[in-house]
Amino acid sequence: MNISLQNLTSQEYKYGFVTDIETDSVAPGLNEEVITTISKKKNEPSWLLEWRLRAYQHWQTMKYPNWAHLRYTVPDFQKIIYYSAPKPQQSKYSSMDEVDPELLRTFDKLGVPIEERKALAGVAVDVVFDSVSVTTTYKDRLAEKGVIFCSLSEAVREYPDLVKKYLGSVVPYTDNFFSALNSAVFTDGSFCFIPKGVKCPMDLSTYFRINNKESGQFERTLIVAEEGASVSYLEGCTAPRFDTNQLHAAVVELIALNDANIKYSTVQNWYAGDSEGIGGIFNFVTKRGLCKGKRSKISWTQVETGSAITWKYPSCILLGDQSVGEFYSVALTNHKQQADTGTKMVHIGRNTKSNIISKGISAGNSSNSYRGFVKIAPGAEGARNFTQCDSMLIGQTCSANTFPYIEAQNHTAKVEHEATTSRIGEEQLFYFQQRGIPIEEAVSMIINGFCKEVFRELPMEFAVEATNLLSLKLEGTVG
Amino acid sequence: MSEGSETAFLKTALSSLRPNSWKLLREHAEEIIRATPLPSQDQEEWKYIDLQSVFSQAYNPATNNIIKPLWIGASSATETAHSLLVITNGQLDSNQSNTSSVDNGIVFSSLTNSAKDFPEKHEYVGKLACPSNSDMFSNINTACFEDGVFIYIPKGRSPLTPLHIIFRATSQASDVTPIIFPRILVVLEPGAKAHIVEEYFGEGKYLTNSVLEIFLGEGASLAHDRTQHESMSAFHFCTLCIDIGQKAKYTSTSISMGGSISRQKPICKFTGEHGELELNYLSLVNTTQIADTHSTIEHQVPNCTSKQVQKFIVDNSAHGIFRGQIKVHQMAQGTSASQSSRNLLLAKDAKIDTMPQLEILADDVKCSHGATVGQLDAEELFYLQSRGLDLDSAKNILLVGFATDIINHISLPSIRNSLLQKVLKQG
Repeated sequence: MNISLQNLTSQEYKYGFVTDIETDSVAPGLNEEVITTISKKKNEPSWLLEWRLRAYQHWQTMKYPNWAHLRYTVPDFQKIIYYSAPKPQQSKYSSMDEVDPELLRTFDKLGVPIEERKALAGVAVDVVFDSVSVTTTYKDRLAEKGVIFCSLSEAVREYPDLVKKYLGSVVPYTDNFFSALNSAVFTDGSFCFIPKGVKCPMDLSTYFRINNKESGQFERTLIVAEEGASVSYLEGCTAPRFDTNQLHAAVVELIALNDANIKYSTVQNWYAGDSEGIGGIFNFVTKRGLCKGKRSKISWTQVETGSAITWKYPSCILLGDQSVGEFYSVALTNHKQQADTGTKMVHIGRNTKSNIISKGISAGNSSNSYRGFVKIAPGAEGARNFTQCDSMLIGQTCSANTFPYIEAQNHTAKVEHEATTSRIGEEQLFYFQQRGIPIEEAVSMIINGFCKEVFRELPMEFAVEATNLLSLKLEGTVG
Repeated sequence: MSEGSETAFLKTALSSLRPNSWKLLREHAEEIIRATPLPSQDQEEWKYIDLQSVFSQAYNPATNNIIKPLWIGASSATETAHSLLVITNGQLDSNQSNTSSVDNGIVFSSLTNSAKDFPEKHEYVGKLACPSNSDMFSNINTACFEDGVFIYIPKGRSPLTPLHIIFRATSQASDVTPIIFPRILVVLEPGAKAHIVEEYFGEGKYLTNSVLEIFLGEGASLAHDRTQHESMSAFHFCTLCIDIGQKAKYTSTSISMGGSISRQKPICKFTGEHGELELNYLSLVNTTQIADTHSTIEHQVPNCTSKQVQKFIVDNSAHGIFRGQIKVHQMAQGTSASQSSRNLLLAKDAKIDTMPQLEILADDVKCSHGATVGQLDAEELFYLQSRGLDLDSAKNILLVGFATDIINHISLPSIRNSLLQKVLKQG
C-alpha cells in the first residue's frame, strides 16, 4: 500500500453525544448492600434477590479471566456505578407523553424508531437506557398474538413463573466471571416469550444505550420460543464518547423448544475510543442459545464495529436431535480496537448441524481474533459442522488471528474448518479506479463483497445500516 | 516450585548422572525446572493430556548396562548399513553402529565423544532449546542428557548415504522405569545437504525424552525422516528446534505409531529470507494411546514459505491432539503459510482435539489453514463396493490412501514399504 493510500482521516463517532438528563444512581462500588438496593429499587421478589446474592458470593470466589488475545487494564469493579436510571423513575411510563422529552430527542438523534409515528419501520422496540428499560412499543399488537415482549423487570413482576423457570437456565451465574457479575447486578433488559405455534408478527428489537460516564451496563435478555414458535430479534447499541472505559457485561439467553426458530441479530456500535485508543466501551458479553427441542434452530448474526474491546462468543447448545445452530459474524476493528470474538457450537443431540461464517476485518493498529469452539459430544451421531473464517487486513500494523478449537468424540460426525487471510490489493483498487470508481467506493464495494454471506442473513433495515456503518468506519483507512 | 509438586518423576529425573560438560547450561535448566510448576491440565498447553500416569512413576535413570542386541532388525533399512548409529538406553552402542561409509570431514558420532574436537560447535547445544523459553521436558533433557548424536556437515558437502540413527530402549531387570534423554545436535554449514533418518524402538515400560537442535546455514538443505515405534507402554516426549537460515530448506516426514503417551513438539523458526519448510506428519493411534503434536512455526523474516500437514488415524479409544501455531510477525511480508489438519476417527470411542492457529501481523501474506474430522467417506466406500470389493478391502484401500499421502514422503524405500505394511495390518 503506498503513501497516498495511507492518508488517514478519522471518522467521527456520530453517536458520541451525552444526553443531559437527571439520573437516579447508586454510589460506585459493589457489595451486598448495593445489590440489595438495586433489587429494592426494582421492587423485586425475594427469590431474585437471593439469586443475585448467591451470584455475587460466587463471583467473589472467581478469578479474572485473562486467556483472551487482548491487552487492556482490568476495570476496577469498585469504581463502577451499578445502577443508573433516568429520573423520574416512576413505575413505568404508560404513554410516550410521560417520557422525558430530552430522552426522546436522544432517541431521535439515534434514529431509533421509538415513536409510533415511525410505525412504518414496523419494529417493536424495547429501549434500555443506561440500566433501565425506558419504553416498549407495539405491546398491544403483540399481545393479541400472545407474544410477551417487555422489560425484564416488568416480566419479573407480571410473569414471575416464566422468568423463574428460564432465568439462568442457559447461562448460570457460575458460568464465567462476567455472567456471575451480571447475575448479581443486572438492572434490566428485555424479556420475550413466543407461545406455542406463534410466528411473531414483526421483528422485535432492543436498543441499548450507555449514557452515564461511570456507569456500567449490565442488562439481561431472555427469549423463549415455545414449540413451533418463531421470532426474529434485533439488538442495537451506542454510547457517548468519554475518555474513560465503560463496562458492558450483558447476558443473553435464548431457549428454543421443539421446532422453534430464533434469529438474533446484533449491530454493535458502542463507542470505540478515539484513534489513540483512549476511552471506549469494554464489551464483555455472554450470549448463549439452547436448542432444547427437536428440530429447533438458533441463528446468531452479528455485525461488530464498535467497542474498544469486544469479547463475546454467541453460542449454541444443540441438545435436541436435528437441531441447528448458525453463526454469521462480521467483526471490524480499526485504530486501536481489539476484538476477540467467535462462537461455540456444542453438539449433543443426534444429527445436529452447525454452520459458522466469520469475517474479520482489521485496519489501523487494531487486533482482530476469531476464537471458535466446536465440540462433538460422544452421543452426537451424525453431527455436522462447517466453519469458514476469513480475515482481511488493511494496512501493515494490524493483526488477524484465528484460534479454532475442535473436539470430536464421535466418529460419525463430520467437522470442517477453513480459514484464509487476504488484503485489499493495489491491483484491485487500481482496477476499480481505472473504471472511474473512486477509491473510497471501491473499498466499500470490496468489503461488502467480502461480507456478503453475513449481510445476506441480516434483516433488511439492519443490512442497510450495517453496510453504511462499515463504510463509515473504514473511511480514511485507505485512500 | 511448590512443595507438593516435587514428584517422584522430578526427583528421579534430576538425580541422573550428568557429565560435567555444559555445566552452566545444565544448572540454568535445573533452576528453571525448579521454579516452574509441573505441566497440568489447567495450563492451556497441556489441556488435553492427563500426565498423572507419567508423573506418579518412580524412574531410574537408564544405566550403562548395554542390553542384548535383541531387535536391531527392528528397523527395516538396509540402505544405511554403513552409516548407522545405534543408541541404546541413551548410550552409544558401538558394536551395533557402523559409520564406515561416512566421508572424511563429515561428523556423525556420539555427542560427548566429539565435544573435544568441535568445542565451538558444541556451544550450539542449548541455543535453540534455551532453558528460559522451553518447556519442562526440554529442560529436563538439557539438565540431564548423557549422550546423543552430533551431525556436522561442512560447507557445500553432502554425505552419500542417509545418516541413520536408531534409538533403542528397554526396561531393565529392576521394577523401576528407566528414563532416557537422547540429545541430537545437527549443524549444516552453508550449502550443505543431508538426509537424516531417526527411528525409535523399544520394549517394556520406559520414558524417552529427547531434544533435537537443528541449525541450517545459508542455502543448506535437510531431509529429516522420523519414525516412532516406541513400545505401547512407553512414554515418548520429543522437542525439535529448527533454525532455518537464508534460502535453507527443511523437509520432515514423521510417522508416530508407538507410545502410550507420545508428544512431538517441533518449533521452527526462519532466520533468513526465502527459507522453506515442509512438515508432513502422520500419527496412527490405537487402543488407549494418546498422541499429541504441538507445533510452532514462526515467520520472523520476509518471503519464507511453510507447508504443514498433520494427519491422525485414531482407532478404538485412542486420542489424538494437534495444536499448530503459525505466527507471522509484522516484518514477515511475503510469507506464504499453509497448514492442514486432517483426522480420521475409526471407532466409536476415538477422540480428536485439533487447534490449528494463525496469528498474523503482516498484511502482504498468503496464509490459510484447514481442519477436517470425519470417518471414511460412505460414498467412497460405496463406490469401491460397487466395483466388487468387500467392505473390509474397501476400507483398507481408503485408509492406506489416506496414510500413503504422508508415508510416500519417506525417501528410504525399505522403511517406506514396511510402514505401508504396518498400516495395512492396522486397517
